[in-house]
Amino acid sequence: MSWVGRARGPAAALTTVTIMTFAFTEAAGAADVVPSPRWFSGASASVSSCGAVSGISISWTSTANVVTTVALGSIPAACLGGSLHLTLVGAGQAALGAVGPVVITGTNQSMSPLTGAPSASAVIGAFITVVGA
Amino acid sequence: MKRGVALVAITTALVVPGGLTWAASLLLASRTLDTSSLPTPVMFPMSVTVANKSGGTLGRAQNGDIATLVFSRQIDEPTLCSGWSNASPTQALVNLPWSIVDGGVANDRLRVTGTGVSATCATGFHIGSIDLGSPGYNVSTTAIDFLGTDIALTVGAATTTVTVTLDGQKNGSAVTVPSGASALWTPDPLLKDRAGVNCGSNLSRSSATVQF
Repeated sequence: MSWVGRARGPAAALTTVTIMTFAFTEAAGAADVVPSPRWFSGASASVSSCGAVSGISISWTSTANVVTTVALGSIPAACLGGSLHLTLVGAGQAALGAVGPVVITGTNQSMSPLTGAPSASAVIGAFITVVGA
Repeated sequence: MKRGVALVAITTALVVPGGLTWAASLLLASRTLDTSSLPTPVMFPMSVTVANKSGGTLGRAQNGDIATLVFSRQIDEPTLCSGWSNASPTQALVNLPWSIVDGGVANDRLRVTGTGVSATCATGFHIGSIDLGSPGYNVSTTAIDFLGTDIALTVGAATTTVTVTLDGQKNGSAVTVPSGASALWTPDPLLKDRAGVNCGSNLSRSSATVQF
């Protein structure tokens, strides 16, 4: 990936990042780039799974129809030590509440408190993410 | 791919006026193990209250105090009381014995007394039990019985409400509890919704920390 722009002189170069594109025999050119993009570069790589996260079960404790504690079961043992984040969603996948990240310490784990005071009867699903150390 | 940190190397050349000064390799370490969407409970206890009757003594179990329990779905009525039918959205039951069972050092519990306690509900009344959040409501090892308790069931468009009005108090030793913790309702797994789903491990807590 490269950004090619027009040189602005030494003064400008002090506050910008210049990226060079290479030809086989010599440098083909240098250009100043204002680092306005939020991503420096893009790449993809395969990562490993810690198990059947889709098999995790969810139950909760509610108070006056507000979910106050979420209990997860059947967490794959290989995920222990990872960091887990959970979001409860309602209609249109709107986030109603979330909890985490928390370090996974067992195959069953309770999580609280939740942000957002999610109405239990409005929840239609949950998204979880497990990230390794 | 073997488990481990995935390394993504990005090599850039950084140049300032005057020529190439250095090249840098950025190592981005990432090990996102998994992400998934999961189903959430549809049948669960939505709310529980154990309220003082009008004019009663707050924190002391008495005739007329009312427990209200709400399920998130229309229940399959025969799984609560075998003599009931889903044909009727309302049901009533009189003189169903309930008790406050002493928990010793543990919290006292409010529950139906025994099984087969009513001809209508020959296999029991499968509502579950309520941890009252304090060991102090009954200071006797003998249960406080409410032998004339009335039950009202209302099945709404999406939820079910069970109202328990305590009556016929005898035995045990009721004491006023000035402060405690919220009550915790654990539904009976035999009770199911009309799709055959029970409440699983879902629980409900009261907002109030003093019951009755």
